[in-house]
Parts: sequence; structure tokens; C-alpha cells
Amino acid sequence: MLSFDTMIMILTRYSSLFLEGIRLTLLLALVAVAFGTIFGTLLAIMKMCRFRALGVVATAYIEIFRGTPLLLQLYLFYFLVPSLVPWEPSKFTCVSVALVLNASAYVSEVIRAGIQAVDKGQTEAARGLGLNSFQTMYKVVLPQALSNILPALGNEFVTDIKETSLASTFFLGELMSAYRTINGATYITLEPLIIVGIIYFCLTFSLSKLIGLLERSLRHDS
Amino acid sequence: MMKKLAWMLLTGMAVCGLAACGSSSTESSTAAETAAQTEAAAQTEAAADAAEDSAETEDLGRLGDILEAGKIIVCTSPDYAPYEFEDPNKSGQDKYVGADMELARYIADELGVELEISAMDFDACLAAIGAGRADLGLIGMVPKEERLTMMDFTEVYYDDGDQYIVIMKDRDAEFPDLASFAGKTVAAQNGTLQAQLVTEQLPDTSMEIISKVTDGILMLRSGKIDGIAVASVVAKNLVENNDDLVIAQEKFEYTSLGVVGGVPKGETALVERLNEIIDGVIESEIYFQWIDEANELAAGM
Amino acid sequence: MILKVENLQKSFGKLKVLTDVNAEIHENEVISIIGTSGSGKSTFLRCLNLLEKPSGGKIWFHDTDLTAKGVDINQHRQKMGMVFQHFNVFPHMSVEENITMAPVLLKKKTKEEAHERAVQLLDRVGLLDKANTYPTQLSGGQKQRLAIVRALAMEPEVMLFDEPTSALDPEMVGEVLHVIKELINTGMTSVIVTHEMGFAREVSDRVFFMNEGILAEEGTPEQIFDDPQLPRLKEFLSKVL
Repeated sequence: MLSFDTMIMILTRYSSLFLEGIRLTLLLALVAVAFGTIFGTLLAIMKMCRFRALGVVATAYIEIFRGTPLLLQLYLFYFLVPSLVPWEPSKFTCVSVALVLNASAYVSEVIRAGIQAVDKGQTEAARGLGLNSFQTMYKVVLPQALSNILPALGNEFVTDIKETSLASTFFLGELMSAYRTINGATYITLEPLIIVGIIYFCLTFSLSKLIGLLERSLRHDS
Repeated sequence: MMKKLAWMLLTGMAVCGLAACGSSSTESSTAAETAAQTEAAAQTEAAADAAEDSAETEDLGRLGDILEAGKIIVCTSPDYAPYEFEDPNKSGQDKYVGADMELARYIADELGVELEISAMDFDACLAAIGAGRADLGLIGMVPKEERLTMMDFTEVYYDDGDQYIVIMKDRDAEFPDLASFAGKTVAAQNGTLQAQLVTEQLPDTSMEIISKVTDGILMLRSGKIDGIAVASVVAKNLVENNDDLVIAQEKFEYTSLGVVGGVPKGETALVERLNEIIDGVIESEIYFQWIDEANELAAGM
Repeated sequence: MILKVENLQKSFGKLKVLTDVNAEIHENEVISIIGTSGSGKSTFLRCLNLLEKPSGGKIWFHDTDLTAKGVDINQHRQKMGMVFQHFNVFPHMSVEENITMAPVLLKKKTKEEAHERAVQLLDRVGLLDKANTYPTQLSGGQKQRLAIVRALAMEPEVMLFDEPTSALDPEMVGEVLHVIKELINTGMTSVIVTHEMGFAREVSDRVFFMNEGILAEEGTPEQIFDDPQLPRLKEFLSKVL
């Protein structure tokens, strides 16, 4: 049923689609994690800060985004974002917004867990020296939390690589879109699906290995 | 018949909607008038100008916006050769090919505007038309009545003709007629005309819902299902591309509703203009040529 | 008088840890706080620099009520060095950075001054050769010595020790007590929560016995250890001596 020749044929004929797919998949995942880290940090700070109201807002945000499917969020933002901004946003923008907001929720929990894993005595020692809470966070807690957070962020990146496949709903050109394009034109299903699957696996597997190395080197440092 | 009914439904809804709008706007306009009287008289002229302008665009609605912006946004689901699919050898907007995409280009040319094709899957297209994120949806769509709740249709620009069941070539003898599918499994895409036909005309056949025709081919080859219900163009394409497939001898009993474009609701001027253009397409029979070309292009992939 | 505690109360939820504590600590004085675990002695010490926020009462540091609204506690904490049971040295900084970080960050010293001071302090506690290593390479006793000089680098007016030897292996207790003793000899005002009764007796000017959330008995080491008044204190001493 599965033809090796067909696979070779597809791979050579559509190599540009696959390459573009890899580029866009990595780009989307990178955007999601990078901006997700910025907003996730803000959310984590909100959740841990003294003002209860901010914490409630952050918790509600995190619970909602973690408790609803990403595909639903993609749809919602595709239709919602244009009415929120004065210009006509591209599909890439809408999908990125959804991915970023979704990743923010997950990353904020990663950051919060990383910060809370730092021994409470470290904060006490810093405050005892007369550092204020910001200085304590910046000089003492965050540098230590980073070695917990960085590998977890890497894993979030790997997860996002897989999540971006949902963007194929809007034919963004990432890997899964490449499959749908080939499939829609040629009516060949299995071979492109397997090729795309192998590419996804190579990306996530090699990245996971890299993260493992990073994790080990961070542990040696501390 | 169905079309007539749909139009009646639509007109009825539009009238109700307008009536509701009208009554509420009278109320608010009296309030506005009172407020306006206290305003400086100097503004009256400017206000009148603005009102004139808005009246002009109001007449044309979305068509006016399209002409003013010089761009029409057409959404499509490019996974449905020969209607719409992607040519990987091309890039940008040119990569969207197929008969519907030729139609889109033709329409844009006739309107004298640029074309922006926005690709997303079928369900997302339906939603995008409903939400007004696209001016026109060309997705090889059959004018199913229930879709009228979220959009208006253009005229039929192409008749998808007969409806077939595609089966494995080596089992051709097993299925001399529709009745021979009793106790078997036939696949159809969710929510399509074909699914409806299987339910109505093959009551003793179990239906396998698939999201894409190509998934069905896999299932067909593995013996999980015995046939796939598809429209004639798709059936032809399948058989041409796959030597092991064949069209079953008896087709569904069906008179085609044709394929239509989807337009956001209530855009009468836009629909009228599109229908004018489509009339030209039908007259010149150019769509059939586009289908042939698209079939050829798809076969070469 | 450097520290004065008035009607100090502290509850954790429903649990009342300190019910009503009153105390005065004078300049150059060395106070040891003893008592059973759970008597509130650590909580009392941690209230002095507001690491625990008092539920009631007042803490006077010189002429300032630290519990009053609008007090910049960070400013005052800089003058109160704190040493913890579990050292809490910063693992991501080198030994020297542990000492220089706070004075430089809080603009008490320039980098050069801080470095010079760090060298002096490390020399004093015998850790000069470890200046550029990281705390993971230090023993428990070395970590606690580092924690002490880290606090001293801020030039505090008073040192608070929270069971500084409780987490140490027995063979390392001596070296840490030795450092504290030397520090006391320089005249540093110190408040020490400790289980080392011999040490408390030897170095203290006064000893506080805490019991069930109050300062139950206080006096000179001779009064407390040789002539205890309360039955609870007698019972406690009979167990630990």
C-alpha cells in the first residue's frame, strides 16, 4: 500500500513546500515561545504579586487558555482580532496571536513553578540583607529559577512545534499545510503524511536531545 | 424550488430585520435631532455632505467598499482539486490554482480590482463568509438551504452534474447497482451533498464519515469501506489518478443544484454584480475549460 | 538602647506563636535566646527585622517603630545582619560575589571597596583561598562562615543569629562558634537563638528563656543557669544540660 517510489517522488517534487513548511513551523513555534515568555512572565508576576485582584485576573486567564482547545482559540482569534485592531491583520498575525496567548498561559505556569522551586531561604537571605523585593527577584531568585525554567521552556517549544500543525486550518504554509496542499492536489494521502510525520519527529527529537544537554550543563553549573 | 424557498426565507428575514432596525433608528434619530438642534449651525453643511457620502456607499454596501479599496478578498479551501488546490511550483497568490481560482481572477478583472485569496479549510471558509472576513467564498459549494442562515449565494456558476460511488476496480462486478451496496459501507464527507445522498438512497448501507476524500481512498484500499460517494468531477479525477479505482455502474438519482459562491448576508448590490459577471461566464462556457485545465494540472502533480 | 520590643504578638492563622513579648536590647550587648522548639524563639528573632510581620505590638530600632506604616524596612534591614540555620548562601554567585553583591547593589560601597572588604572578611574567617569558588564546593561550616561575613559586609549595627549551628555536623560546630565569639569580642551587638547552652553561658550578657509565646524569664547567664526560678525553665535545663 505504501509506495517508496511515491515517497521519493513527492519528496523531490515538493521539496520546496517541505522546506518552507519547516521554516514556518519553526518560526511560528519560536514566535509563540518568545512572546509567550514575555507575557507568561508578566502573568506569573501578576499571579504571585501582592494585589489579589491582579492574581485573580491572571489565574482566570491561565485557566481559560489551558482549559479550552487551541483549535477553538485559533478560530476565535481569527474572527476576533480583526475587530480589535484598526488595521486588517494577516492570517499569520491572527494565528500568531492565538499561539502566543495560548503559550503565555502555559509558560507562565512554567515560570511560576521555576520561581517557586527556588528555596524560600534565598529570598529571606536577600531581604535580610536589605534588598527590596524587585532586587531580590532580579539578583537572587530569577538567576536560580532560570536553570529550572530554561529546559521547561525548551519543552514548551517542542510542544508548540506540534501545536502549530493546527494552523493548517488556515493554510499558513507550515508543515501540516504542506501535507494538505499535496494531498488536495494529488489525492495521495499516506506518503506525504508519513514524510511530514518523519520531519516533525526529527525536529522534536533532536530538539529534545539538545534540551537534555542544556539541562545537564545547567545542573553542573549550580 | 429549493432556491425559491431560500430566497423567500431570505427576503422575509431581511424585511423583518429592516423593520426592526427602522423602528429603533427612528427613536434614536429623534433624540439625535434634539441634540443636533443645539449644535452650531455651521456644522449643518458638513453633516449634510457626510450623509450624502454615506448614502452613496450604503447603496452599494460591500461592493462599494471593494471598489473603493480596489481589492476583493476571496476565501477558499485549496485542498479540493480540480476546483481549488495549490501549485507548489508557484508562490504568492499565483500558487492558488483550479477552476474556482480562475473564476476568482476573472471576477476581480471584471470588477477592475486586485484579488486577495485567503486560504483556510472548508469549515473556516463558511465561518469567514458568515463573519464578513471575506467578500466571496469559492469553495465548490452546493447551495444547501441551511447555509443561507449565515450567507447569501451567487447564481450557480457550474453544475457538478452526476453523483457517483467510486469503488475498487477489481470489485466492479460486485456492485452492478445501488441496491448491491446494502450491508456494505460507503464513505462520504461530513455535511456534503454526498453524505445526504448516501443517507437517503442507501438506507441499508452504513455510512463512514470522512473529513477528506483522500482519507476515503486509503480506507477503500484497506477494505475498511466499499465505496466513496463523490461528485462527477472528483470521481473523474480520482479514477484518472488512481489506476485501481473505478466508478460504480449505477449513479445516485440526483438533479444537480450546481455550485455557487458564498457572499456575506444582505449584500444585494454585491450579489447582483457578481451574478452579472457569472452570467457572462455561463454564456461563454469558459468554466468548463477551466475545469479541464485544472484536471490536467492536477493530474500532472 | 538599640532594640525595644513592646507587646509583640504573632499568629500564623489561628496558631498564636507569640502572645505578648516585651524586651530591650542595648548596644554592645549579647543576648542568647533559649527555649524548647515551638516556644517562639525563632519567630521572635525573625520579627526583629520584620522577616515575619508582627500581628501586633511594636519594634523600636533606635527611634524608629519598624511596624509603623511608611517605614522603609529595607533601609533598616541593612543595619541588621541576619544569619540563618540553613546558611542560605547564594549558590549562583562565587564566594566573593556573595559578599560584595549587596553592598555594591545597595550603593554602600564601590566595587573596589567591596572587594577589599571581602578580602579582609574572608581572611578573617579563613576562606580567602575560596574567594573565587562557588558555594557548592564549601562544607557546611564554611558556608555558615561565609553567611556570617556576607552579613558583616553590610556593616550592620546588630547581628541576628537564628540557630546558626543547628544544621551543622558536630565537627563543624566549633569553627562557626569560634567565628561568632571573635565577632562578639569586637563589641558587636548580637542576638543569638541557640541550643548550645555552654556557648550561651560563656558569651552572653543576658539570656532570654522563651516559653509558650512569651519571654518567660530573663537574666544574666548565672541567674538563668545557676538559679532558675520558673519550674518550666528548671525542667528545660535539666533536659538539655
